[in-house]
Amino acid sequence: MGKRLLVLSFIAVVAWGCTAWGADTVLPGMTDTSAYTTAAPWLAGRAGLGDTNAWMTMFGLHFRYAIEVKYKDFFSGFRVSSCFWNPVQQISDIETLVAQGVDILFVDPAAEAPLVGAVEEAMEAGVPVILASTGVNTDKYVSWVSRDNTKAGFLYADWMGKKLSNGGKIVVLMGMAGSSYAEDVYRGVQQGLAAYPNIQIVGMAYCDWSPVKAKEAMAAFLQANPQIDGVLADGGQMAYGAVEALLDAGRPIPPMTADDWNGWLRIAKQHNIVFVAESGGCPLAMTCVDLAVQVLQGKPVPKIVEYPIVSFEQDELDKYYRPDLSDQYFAINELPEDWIKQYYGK
Amino acid sequence: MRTRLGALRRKLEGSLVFVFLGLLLIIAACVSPPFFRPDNLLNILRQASAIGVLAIGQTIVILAGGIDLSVAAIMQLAGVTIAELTGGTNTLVPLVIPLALAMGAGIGLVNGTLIAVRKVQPFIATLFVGLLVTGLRLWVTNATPSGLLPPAVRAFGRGGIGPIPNAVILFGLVAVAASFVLRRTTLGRRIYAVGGNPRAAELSGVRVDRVTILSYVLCGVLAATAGLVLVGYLGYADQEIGTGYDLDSIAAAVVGGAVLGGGRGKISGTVAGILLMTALLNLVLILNLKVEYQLVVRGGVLLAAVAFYSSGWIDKLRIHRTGAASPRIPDRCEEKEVGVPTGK
Repeated sequence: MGKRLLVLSFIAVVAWGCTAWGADTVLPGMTDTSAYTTAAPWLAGRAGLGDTNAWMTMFGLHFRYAIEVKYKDFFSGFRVSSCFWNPVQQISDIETLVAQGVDILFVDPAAEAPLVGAVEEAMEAGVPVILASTGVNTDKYVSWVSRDNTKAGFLYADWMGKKLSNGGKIVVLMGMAGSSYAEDVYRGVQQGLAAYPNIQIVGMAYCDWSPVKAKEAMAAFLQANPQIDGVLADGGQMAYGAVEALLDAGRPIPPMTADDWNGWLRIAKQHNIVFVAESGGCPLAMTCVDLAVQVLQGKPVPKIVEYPIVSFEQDELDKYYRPDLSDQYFAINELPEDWIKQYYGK
Repeated sequence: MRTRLGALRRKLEGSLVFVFLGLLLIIAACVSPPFFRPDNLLNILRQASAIGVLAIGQTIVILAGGIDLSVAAIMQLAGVTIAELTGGTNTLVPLVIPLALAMGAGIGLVNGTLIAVRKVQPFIATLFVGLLVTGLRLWVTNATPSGLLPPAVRAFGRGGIGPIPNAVILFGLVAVAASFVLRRTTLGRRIYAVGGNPRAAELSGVRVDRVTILSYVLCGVLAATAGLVLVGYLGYADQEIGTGYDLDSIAAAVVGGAVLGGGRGKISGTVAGILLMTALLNLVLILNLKVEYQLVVRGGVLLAAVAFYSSGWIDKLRIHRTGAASPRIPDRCEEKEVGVPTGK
């Protein structure tokens, strides 16, 4: 909550600063949104990726909560499309939502390059676009809210380097080959590990965030390497798969990186695993809606908002793990307890 | 002479996947000794089990002239159903497992009825049934299933008899049973007949619609079984476990020698096909190849395997041995040559 307040305060202070500067002046790094001022209630649209995994589901719930509850008096409706990671479908979704007359459009892009035209056309049609999570290769949007994924990878690597101060052999499990998100994280991992030359990557696999693929890959790496001192996984589900492979092989569980997924926290507690977890940033969806309200009120908004990375280790496990909730829950979120229990209660 | 060459050709065609599998094992022995560790070989077999059971179901449908793109959705439904209804305890397992299998059978029945009775194209019918099942599953669970598995279901993926994992035993039993049904029973012969030439089968007195529906029902049951094996292997149920397995199961059947038009293929070929695919993945991971090289090697080897099924090079072999090319015999007639009966 503290981090979130920090972000909101930052946005508010910058917005106030812009107002104080003068009605016609916008600070560097801010977007002038006066052209988008319109009376509430507004119709919001989201060209999304679909509830393809637990993270996406909670990400979508944050959008819904913000529009349906937090700002319920401001919005008349919320149209959501799902492209299931197909950029061509997402282009069509954006065109459809614009044609439906949405006042604000959230896009969580399936890819950076293919969506340039669709996003620019939406902006040219007078619909302000807010990018959530992944970016698009254009500057024609009003705001982009994202976690610094390279930094996330760097922090994973730095933690691992400190844990293995005498060096060691590690396995790296990344998301989807070719996705800008996964490549950013891996770039950060490589940058972080550059400071620890005595750490050697003996196995690297892209597992599409799938625990099954992570388990299969880890099982193979275990056969090829009698010694594995650490597992650097970009996400709890892949870390879960790796632990399953280690348990099947009867091998000790080395220090691991993961995220705040409840299934991971469950198995980490069960097997007393030394780990660092980084938040995946589901709540940034709510920041997008906060910004949307400001945009449609004509207030300047930051062009780029970096959502903070919250991390915790084994010693804080009991603070974040919720045994009363399903595995699909993510510990670091901004949803109220009644929504959490409704969607994640066992 | 011509008949003997034809028989040789068919034997070569049916054995190519085994040749490729053998070559892969030889190459693996040369480049990566850890590949042949017993633990690793058991890993490969265990990893092949869920997709293997699924591919056997897919093969039955393909042999009958169809295709099933709803199998991944059925797998996911079975896993999520088990987790949701049992709450992670063993109490309801004896009821819920039959229910999950019955759901698979029911979806297969819908697929088969749409295709055999309503004459919807198999590709379209199963694609949209898969979408429908996925949508309903997300709707009912709010896309947030409980995930916890009862220990009894966990036994599908972990534990075994001696060193042999339960999943591998189940895979073996399913393969033997399916092979027996296809080769030794009237139903099996009718499946081949319907896939080979539905009109001829109908004229021979085979109820084509019934055989088609039954093939999809069997596939649905096996897809649900594969779902149980997969969640047991992993230890929890998730919405997306098994994504992509629909195309993988079709690929395994084709790599194993099944013809997408129907009427030709064997369970042993599918088993070899899935082992080839799984062993190849395991090998490139053990070698720690970069992801781009992994994809190139896997794609290249599997492409080579299926490319050799095109009988061009075997025809050339025939020219070489006989000095003259024989007229190309249509595939459907080849099935008659090998004596696939109409099942009366």
